[in-house]
Amino acid sequence: MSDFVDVSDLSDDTRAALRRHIISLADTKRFMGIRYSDWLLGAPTLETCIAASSMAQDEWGHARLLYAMLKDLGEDPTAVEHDRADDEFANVSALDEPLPDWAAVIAAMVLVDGAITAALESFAEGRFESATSRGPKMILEEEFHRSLGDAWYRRLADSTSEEARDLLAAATRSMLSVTLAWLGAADSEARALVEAGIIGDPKAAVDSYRERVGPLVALAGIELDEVQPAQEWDSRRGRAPGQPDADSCERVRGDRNRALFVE
Amino acid sequence: MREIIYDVFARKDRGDTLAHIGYIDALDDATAKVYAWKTYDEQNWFEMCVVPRSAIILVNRDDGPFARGGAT
Amino acid sequence: MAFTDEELMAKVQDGYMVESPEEMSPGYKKALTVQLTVQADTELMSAPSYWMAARYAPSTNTQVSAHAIIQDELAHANIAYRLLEDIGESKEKLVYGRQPHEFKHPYGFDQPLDNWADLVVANGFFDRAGITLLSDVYQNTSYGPLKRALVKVDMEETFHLRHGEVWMRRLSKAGGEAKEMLQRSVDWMFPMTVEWFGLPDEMKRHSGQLDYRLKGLTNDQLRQVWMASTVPLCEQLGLKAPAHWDEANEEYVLDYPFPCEYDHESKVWLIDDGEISWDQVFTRWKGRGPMNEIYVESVQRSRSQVGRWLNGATA
Repeated sequence: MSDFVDVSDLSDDTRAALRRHIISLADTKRFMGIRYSDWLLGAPTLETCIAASSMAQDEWGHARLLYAMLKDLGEDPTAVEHDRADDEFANVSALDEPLPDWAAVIAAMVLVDGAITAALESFAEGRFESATSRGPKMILEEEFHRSLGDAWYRRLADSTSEEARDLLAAATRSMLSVTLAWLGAADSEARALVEAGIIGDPKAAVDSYRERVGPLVALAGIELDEVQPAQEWDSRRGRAPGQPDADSCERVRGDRNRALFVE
Repeated sequence: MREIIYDVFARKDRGDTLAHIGYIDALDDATAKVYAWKTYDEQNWFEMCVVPRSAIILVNRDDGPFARGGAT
Repeated sequence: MAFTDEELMAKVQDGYMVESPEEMSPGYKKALTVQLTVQADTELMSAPSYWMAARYAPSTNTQVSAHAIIQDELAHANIAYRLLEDIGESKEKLVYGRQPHEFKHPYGFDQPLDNWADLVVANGFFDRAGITLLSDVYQNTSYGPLKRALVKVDMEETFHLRHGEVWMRRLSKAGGEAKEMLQRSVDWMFPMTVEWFGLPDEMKRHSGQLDYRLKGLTNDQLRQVWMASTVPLCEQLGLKAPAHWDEANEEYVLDYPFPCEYDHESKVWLIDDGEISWDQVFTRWKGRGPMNEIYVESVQRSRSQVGRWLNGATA
């Protein structure tokens, strides 16, 4: 299709916005993988441990595909992957800290992983060729994350344990306010991407996300309309202010084994 | 935790025989599908399915693992 | 149709495959239970051991490959626990109901893997020990369900081993600090794996595993198989391994007193202190290594809480 954007024709602002978008998606996938990895031993059954490990690999595979899209902008992704400071990571802020319990892991599987997929769908349907060619496979692989998340979410929401329901509802509320703001961002960078046809209208992405997670979170007693998107915003990175925990940043960069980085 | 035992069957390619390749424990059918796919990922299966062990009806024997349907 | 121990021994030596617990004699069931428990625990405890190093692997790709290996190990453990469950043990109790010191994995999986070099040597050495032991089981076992389950295990352990070899080659080729770190890993992990194969044949207590055809080779034979691929690999990569081929006896011979004592804090074998008794080795193994509790707790940490959530009890 000749309908794809020619990156060299984009204005500097739009190119910068595209770069921000790629990195934000890639970082979110990278940290989503870290959070799954955190639970690959401690998940409640061996089967869920296996799934967590597999999902971490999926996320990282996707992150690599996304980082590689920076090459379309003439940038070698190596420095982005290995040399950034903690406060430069652009992951959705719901992943900044380790997830404290299994209810939070399930909430993240549904809400955060789901939000990345909604964002990817919008990106894959736009006019940036790499996103349209690589997006669909990633979205397909996410199907398994979605079924697992949905099934467990229902279980926990249905639990007779007040502790389970409370933890699930609290995690859901705090994640939703962040993912709604991230997905619905309409700052000048996001608008530039919409105008160039690289992503769809953020409102539409939010609507499809709401449609998908609304019935689930209702099981946890949460009305979507009551949840307000977080207000604070860092337009440099396209996420809320703050940064991931230092240990996770070290892991993402591969600091401790830099001397053995001989791929 | 009350889980159900499922047996996992798969065939590698078109024309192949469906074979018993393993087992997983899961809360329900939905999680069983994910666990089976993620656990038995050593091949790019043409087809995979899971069966609750309790649904297996023994024909000529009354011993062995299949005789213990759903005894998890 | 239960057999006596003697009847079943004779039958399996004649090629009979056991398919159900109802056919097992008490001795057979006991020997199989011990074998499967060691196998399951070993696979399970390799996961936390590998994960501690995998999380700091140098890049996204290396984290992916290391996690793929951990995923396999967890799957292998799960399969072995299922086999145990099918002969009357409880997976729930075995995985979540035991104290750290009650697990039956080798001492090597009570040790910390400190960096990427440790992890790839673990793939090259420990996983090679695993495949040496399990291939022998696969080829010789008289228990049908185990033989079938090992098809997947064998395929995947071979992949781990290749991963270890490829990375050992890469680090060796890089030279400098990378190669020095690699050599340090070899220094503590080579004797660790040699010891893993257990008592020498002349001291071996009777376990029945050979009589019941649950395995085919003796400890010393298996140790030789492992060295026959490991020592040449190290030589090829310019790494020092403390063993050599003895032409006269046609076997690999260790260049250090065996067994000897290990200082887990400095990760050094106390070769200069000379040979110790196997009783001393068993005492060290029984005391477990420095990471034992951390590893076991990491696997058990959320089970009781989530179990409570799903069992209908109010928390």
